[in-house]
Amino acid sequence: MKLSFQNATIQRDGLTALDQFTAVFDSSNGACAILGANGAGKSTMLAAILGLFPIAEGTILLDETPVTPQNARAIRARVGMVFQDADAQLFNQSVAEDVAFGPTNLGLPPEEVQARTTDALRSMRAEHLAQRDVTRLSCGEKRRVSLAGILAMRPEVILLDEPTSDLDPRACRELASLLQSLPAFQLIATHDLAFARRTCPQCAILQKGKLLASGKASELLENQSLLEEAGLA
Amino acid sequence: MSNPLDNAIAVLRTHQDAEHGPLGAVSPLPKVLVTFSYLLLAVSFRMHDVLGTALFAALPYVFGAICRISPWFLLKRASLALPFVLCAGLANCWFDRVPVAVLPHLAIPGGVLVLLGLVCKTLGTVSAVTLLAATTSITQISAALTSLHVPCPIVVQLQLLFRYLLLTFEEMRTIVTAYHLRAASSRGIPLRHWGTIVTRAFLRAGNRGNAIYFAMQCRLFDARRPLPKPARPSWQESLATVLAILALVGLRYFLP
Ligand SMILES: Nc1ncnc2c1ncn2[C@@H]1O[C@H](COP(=O)(O)OP(=O)(O)O)[C@@H](O)[C@H]1O
Ligand SMILES: [Mg+2]
Repeated sequence: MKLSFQNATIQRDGLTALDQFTAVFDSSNGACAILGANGAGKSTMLAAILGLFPIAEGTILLDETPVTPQNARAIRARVGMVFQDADAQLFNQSVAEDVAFGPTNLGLPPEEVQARTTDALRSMRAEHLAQRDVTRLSCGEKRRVSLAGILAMRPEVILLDEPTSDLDPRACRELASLLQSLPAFQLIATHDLAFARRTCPQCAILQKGKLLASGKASELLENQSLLEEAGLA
Repeated sequence: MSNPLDNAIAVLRTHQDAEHGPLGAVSPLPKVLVTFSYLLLAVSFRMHDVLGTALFAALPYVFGAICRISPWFLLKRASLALPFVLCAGLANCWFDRVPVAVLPHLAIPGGVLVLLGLVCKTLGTVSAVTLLAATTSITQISAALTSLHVPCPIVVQLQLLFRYLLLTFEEMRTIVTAYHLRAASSRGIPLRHWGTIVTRAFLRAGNRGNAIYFAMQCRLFDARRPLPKPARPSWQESLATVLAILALVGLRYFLP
């Protein structure tokens, strides 16, 4: 499975958020961290894969399928996104209802939806939260539940936007080990270098909407001058 | 539960905050049907028929108590609607002072009777809706409405409105709290600031609403596609629904 950006340019409110961005993410290399300072374009890049912004120039391909409004549904069935703001993602009343939302929209029969919901919650160690109110969970719980909502759709690719931004160190470690147990290909936007080291064999560094560097995390994350240039150290 | 903002949030969160009891496990369609029947019958009482109205208004509380939903909880919610009714009813007391015979030796001014009737109807209908809301989530109610062939766009609007209102009120509460923290000495918020606060709350809620809609689309939500129908009620549930509606009609027309 391959995700490729070819000279993709995306404007947001007149500003160029992605600027002739070119990169290839290959699932066979393992999870990839998307690193960059604030405003580098990480969130825009992830959201663009799901067709949330019009692509002004260039193309984005999921294998052979270009990201276009016509293909949006097919792509969103294969790619799931865990938003940075968990409150924007969790909107049903109970946790179980929220996790069931995606599979229900996939048109699956109720028994299958139920089975997937239970499964996803179990794999996120959140079965005990099933009947809880989504607005009254801790940040760590919210993160695991929103991830469960995506897992229940069984996507091939999972995009995570700053998954650790509101987690304490222990919740970060737990999330890292949960992510490593998942079969789906992951792209993780973050500026948490320790988390990136823990979860991703690959990494890509963005700067001002362009790709600054990409390759093995073990090499790039040790390159102090590169990190400094990217505003990460 | 002192200020109107907290009240509004509490009402929208009825389902989360309430004990669900055995009614929580009943499928949504029977509950929606019985509640609608109750509402229609409750408002159909004549203006001056206070006794019948009062007895009928007690039904949700009795039924709630049987199903382990505290009558106090229902009463507290229902009484939130009372100020509006009292305003209208009290004004009417002044206009309508012609005595009406209630019992052989008791005559009460028409306006007072109407007021009592209104209060009973309010306490009855609001508690019935609260009972439904306490035991049925908005998702389930939407599903029930879909199976009653309510058009999908209307149901989706209802769901989104519900979420949007909750967000708006919560944003407003955050802004008000932040205001009080920085203005510890002043007690109320001056009228001239309310315009800004409300506008800000709507803008922020709008932004969050957008983010939520984005996230919903990413999970393949499509407002144009029909919503999934809920599982069909079992035959026991169907039978109980028919009996409950018949019982309501019976009580409506054979109560004193
Ligand atoms: N909601 C928004 N509306 C308009 N422009 C935005 C919005 N969010 C971000 N941008 C712009 O898009 C660019 C990339 O932002 P973003 O993708 O959020 O970066 P990152 O996630 O790396 O912090 C920034 O220059 C920022 O100013
Ligand atoms: Mg971001």
